[in-house]
Amino acid sequence: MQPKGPINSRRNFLTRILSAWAGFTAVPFILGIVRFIYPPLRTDKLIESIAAAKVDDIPANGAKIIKFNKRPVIIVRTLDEQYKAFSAVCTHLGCIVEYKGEQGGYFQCNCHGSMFDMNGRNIRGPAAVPLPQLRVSLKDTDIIVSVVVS
Amino acid sequence: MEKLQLKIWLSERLPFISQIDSFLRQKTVPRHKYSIFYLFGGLSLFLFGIQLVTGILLALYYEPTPENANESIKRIITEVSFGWLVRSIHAWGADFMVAAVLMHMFSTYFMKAYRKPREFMWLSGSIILFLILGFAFTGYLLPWDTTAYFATQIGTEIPKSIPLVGELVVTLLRGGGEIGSEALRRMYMIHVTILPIVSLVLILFHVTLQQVLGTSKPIGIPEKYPAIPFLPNYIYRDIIVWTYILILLLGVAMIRPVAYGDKVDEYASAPVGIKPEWYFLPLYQTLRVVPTTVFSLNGEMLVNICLVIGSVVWVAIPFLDRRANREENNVVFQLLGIILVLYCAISVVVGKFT
Repeated sequence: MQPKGPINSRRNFLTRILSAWAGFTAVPFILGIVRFIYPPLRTDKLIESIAAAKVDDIPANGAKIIKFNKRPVIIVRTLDEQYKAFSAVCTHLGCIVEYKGEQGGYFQCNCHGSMFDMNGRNIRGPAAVPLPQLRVSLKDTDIIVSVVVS
Repeated sequence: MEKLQLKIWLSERLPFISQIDSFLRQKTVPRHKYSIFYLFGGLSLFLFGIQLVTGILLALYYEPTPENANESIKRIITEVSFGWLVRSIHAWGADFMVAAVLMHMFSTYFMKAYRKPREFMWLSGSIILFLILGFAFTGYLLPWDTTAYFATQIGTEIPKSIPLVGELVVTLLRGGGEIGSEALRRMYMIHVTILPIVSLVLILFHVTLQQVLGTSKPIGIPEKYPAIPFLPNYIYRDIIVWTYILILLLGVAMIRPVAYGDKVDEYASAPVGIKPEWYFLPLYQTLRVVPTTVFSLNGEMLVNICLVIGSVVWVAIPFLDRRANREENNVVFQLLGIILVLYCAISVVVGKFT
C-alpha cells in the first residue's frame, strides 16, 4: 500500500521501515511454526529378520498378514508348499492387499482393484509398481521373514 | 411501554443493531423463475450451524486416541442419552451440508452470480467449499473404524504424487509416515479447531458481502414480480425451508442411524467394497479409470495435477469469464459447467454401483 503524503516525508519513511520490520520479524515465527508442525522423524532400528509365524499357522493356499518393521507383510503358503512374503501395502495408494487363493492365487487390493501375481508383479492397474518381496526361510517349524529381496 | 423503553435503552448502547435492522428491512431479494435457488445459501448456513452444535456435543465424550476413539463412539451410541441421534445427525448432516453447498455453488455458477462486483463472494465461497470437504475428510477418520482407516490412508496418500510438495503435505497431514495416533490427533485437531475457526471467519465475510452487495440477478432473466423484502419476508421463506430440511434430517438420522464400525485392525486386508463418501466418488472413480501411465506420465500424478489446475481455474472463474461482467452470457462457461456437473453425477453413479 502506498503511504499517503509526500514520498520523502518522515511518516512515509517510518511506515516503510515499520512494515519491513513487521515482515522481517514475522518470517522466523512462521518458519518456526512450520518446523514445529513437521513431525520429528523417528529412526527405529530396522529388524533384519523375524520368526513371523509357525508353519501350521498358514493353511495350504492360504496367507497371513504379520507386522514386520511396523509395516504389514503378507506371507503365502502356495499349493506346492512354498512360502513367499511380500509387503502387504498396495503400491497404488497404500491399502492392505488380500490373498485370493481360491480364485487361482493372486493378491488383490480391494480399494481400487489392483492385482498382483504370485511373484508380486502388478498384473492389473491402477498400481504401477510390483509388491516388494521379502526373503523367506524355514527354521524347524518357524517361518523366518527377512529383509526385502526386490 | 416497557418493551419500547428496553428498545431505546438497547439502541443507545448497541447503536449498530438498529442500523443493521433498518439496513436489512430496506434490502430486497429478486423474484424470477430461478429464485428458488437462492435458498441454498441460507440452507448451507443453517446446516453448518447444526454441524457446529452436534459437533460440540460429540466432543464432550469423544476421545481422539487409537485406543479409545472407537470405544468412545460406542459409548456415545449406547450410553449417552440421545447420543446415537446426535451422532447420526452429525454424520447425515455432513452429507446434507455438502449437498446444499454444492447446489449453492452450481446455482451461483449457472446464474453467473460471481460476476462483478461479487468476485470475492465467489472466491470466499469456493474456499468455504474446500473447507467443508476438509471437514468431511478429517471427520471421517475419527470413529477409527476399518472403513475410516483405509479411506484416510487413500485420501492422505493421494497428494504424495504432487511434484515437490507431495511428500511434505502427506507427512504434515499424518504427523509421520503412517496412519496412527499422530494422524488421528491431527485430523481431530484440524476438524475441531482450525477448520471451524477459518470457516467461521470466511462465512462471516461471505455473508456480510452478500448483505452489502445484495442478491445477484441472472443475466437476461426478466423479473415478473416485485422483489421480496429480505426482512422479514425472505427470512420467513428461509425458516420454512430450514424446518422441512430439519424434519428430513431428523427422519433420516432416526430411520437410518449411522452404523458403528469395528475398531481398526492395521494389519488386516482392506474390506471388499470399500468406497469413499459420495462427494469423493468423482475423484475415486477418476483414479480407478485413469491408466497407470498416460503419455509416459504417472497417471495418479496426472490426476493430481489436473485436480490442482482445475481447482485454481474454478476459483478464478470470475476473472476468466469477462463476458459475464458485460452482462453477456458465455456459452463456453455454460458448457464447462454442464460437463462438470454431468461428469460428477455420472462418476458418482458409476462409482457407487460398480
